[in-house]
Amino acid sequence: MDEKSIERRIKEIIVERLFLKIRPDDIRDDDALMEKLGVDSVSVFEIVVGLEEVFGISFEDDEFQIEKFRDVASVAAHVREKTQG
Amino acid sequence: MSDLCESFFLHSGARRLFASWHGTDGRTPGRAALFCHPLGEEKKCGHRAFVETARALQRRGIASLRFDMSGCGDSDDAFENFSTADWLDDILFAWKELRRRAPAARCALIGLRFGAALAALALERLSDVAALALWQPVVNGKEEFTSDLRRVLIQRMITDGSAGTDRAEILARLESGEGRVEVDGYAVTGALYRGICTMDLASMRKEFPKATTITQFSRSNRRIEAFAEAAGIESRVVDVPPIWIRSDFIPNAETGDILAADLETTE
Repeated sequence: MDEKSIERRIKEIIVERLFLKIRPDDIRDDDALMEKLGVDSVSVFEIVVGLEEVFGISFEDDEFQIEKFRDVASVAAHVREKTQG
Repeated sequence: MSDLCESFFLHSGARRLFASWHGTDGRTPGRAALFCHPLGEEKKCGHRAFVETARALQRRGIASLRFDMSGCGDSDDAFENFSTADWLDDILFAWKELRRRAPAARCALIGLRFGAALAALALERLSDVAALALWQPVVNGKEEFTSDLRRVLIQRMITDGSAGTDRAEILARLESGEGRVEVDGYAVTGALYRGICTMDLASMRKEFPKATTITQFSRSNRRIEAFAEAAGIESRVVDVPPIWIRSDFIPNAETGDILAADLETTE
């Protein structure tokens, strides 16, 4: 999977699943999801469901650790880890 | 047709249920509907869409009754003191009020998420439901709740840095009857969990009314599609964001019109 496209696809998931009135490109890789985008637990849940559908992965309960969901870059790193085994 | 709304309390046994009637300017309505709301935060998020849809229906000459189930919204008592059996009783009670206000009308039940599941289950105790509109229904309570528990883990992740537990542990506590879990600030007790586990639309004995539809928001859901196909219920997707989720989207009159138009095709 192309390295760049994971971040882009995650941003698209965030905008689409949360019905944000911004473009995916408006989100920087290091924008703090909670502080900058106002993402809360319900939103993270929606993002997780989106990630699972788009990337064909499944989040285990012990993977809900804040450092994995801090920003797009950290989410992408975790997705990359899961998709590349 | 004006958009006047009359708010009052229904008395369901010893409890008071807050209700709002969107009438038809003093005329006896030919059609009417009862809204069954979702639970917890989803109820708060979905509130405006219900209001706008009720007003849109009113503009179309269709009366409706919105109400808050026990322990929810402006109704009496606390959420944690009730379970699905109580809320089914509330729906039946509100239905009686709807029928009292619209005695000759074709009456429909409209439910959103868990409210849709409750509306469908209420059918087993009602004989005069002309139409049933299931908005993004919870098809299987236990499966949905188990999936939703991830929100609890995520909430703990946000506040404490990590989930600190897993769903198996939470479910074990609920199943033992000794524990409770807070989902978005709402206490789910063992009793409520047991009630949720009984909600399985696929195993309903009573047939759905011929005029039954499933409406999904923005995109289709595999579980709902599978249920719709197995039950022979028409399912469609409306171009409206999920109204039960907090987002940048604020339902407005246009939203109400879209949903009211969708409802009109149900009957």
